[in-house]
Amino acid sequence: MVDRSNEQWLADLKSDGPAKENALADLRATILKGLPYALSNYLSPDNPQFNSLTEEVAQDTLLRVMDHLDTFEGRSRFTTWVQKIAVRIALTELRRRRWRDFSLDSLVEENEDGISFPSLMIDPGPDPDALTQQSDMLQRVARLIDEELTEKQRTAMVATAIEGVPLEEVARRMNMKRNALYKLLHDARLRLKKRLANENLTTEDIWAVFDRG
Amino acid sequence: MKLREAINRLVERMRPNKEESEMQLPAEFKKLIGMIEKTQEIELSCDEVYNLLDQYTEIVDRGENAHKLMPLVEHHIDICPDCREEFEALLRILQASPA
Repeated sequence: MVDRSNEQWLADLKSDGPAKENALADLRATILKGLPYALSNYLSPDNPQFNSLTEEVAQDTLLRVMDHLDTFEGRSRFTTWVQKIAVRIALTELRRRRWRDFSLDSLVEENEDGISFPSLMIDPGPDPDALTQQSDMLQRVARLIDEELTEKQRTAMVATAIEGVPLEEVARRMNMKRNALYKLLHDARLRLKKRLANENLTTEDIWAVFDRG
Repeated sequence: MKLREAINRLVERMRPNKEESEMQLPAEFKKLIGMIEKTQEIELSCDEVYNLLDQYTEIVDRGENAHKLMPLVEHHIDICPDCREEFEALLRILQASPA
């Protein structure tokens, strides 16, 4: 593989003929070399889906790179910029597959009976006063969330923060872009933070109650 | 979304079990409070972080002070699980194939 500077990559990819073909082949090899590391937490190379996924990702990445060459600003190595695009495409596809059967409707239905909290923190048994304080604090926080957030904000917050659904997948189901969902959640967090301040309740106060035991 | 009902349920689950005198506080609630605690008035969006992610990841890979150089990106990655996953995946690639 030819060792290229950023400028050489751009020049080759914008050229015609063998230089471009060689650059595309090298870029494809670079993407395929990196993907096993990127996906190591999610998909083993032994998985039957691995090769088809990485081939698909490499192809989609090359198309996107060629469409967006002019947006590369040279703030990183060109190959890092390309790998970033490959990572986004690969993880978006993996999230889509993993959460294929999830629906926000099912979350609402499940929530009628209360959301399940699968992973638990274990604290030493508190005394009765501490337990009462903890119950009161949870009720208070619940009330603030109820009063302060819109239905959409509550749904998004429960899905992402409590259920652990990726923003990308929640956004898809809400017909929003991930960027817009982040802004909606940021607004929700900001509202809650300000409301806590208005009630003279700090997060330290909340932690303090639960640290008792 | 009846979050309050969920927390009511949580309160019930906190009652000390007769067999195990332990109080249980779900990690999810802790995470929620932690996220509120970290919230800043000005935060970068996912798109803004994506535009800077290659530069940021190289800074981290080189062992430079990302906290000082790009604090808003670092903060977003701390809050946003999707962007954090993408950062970690890209960092694994860079660490596996040094420049």
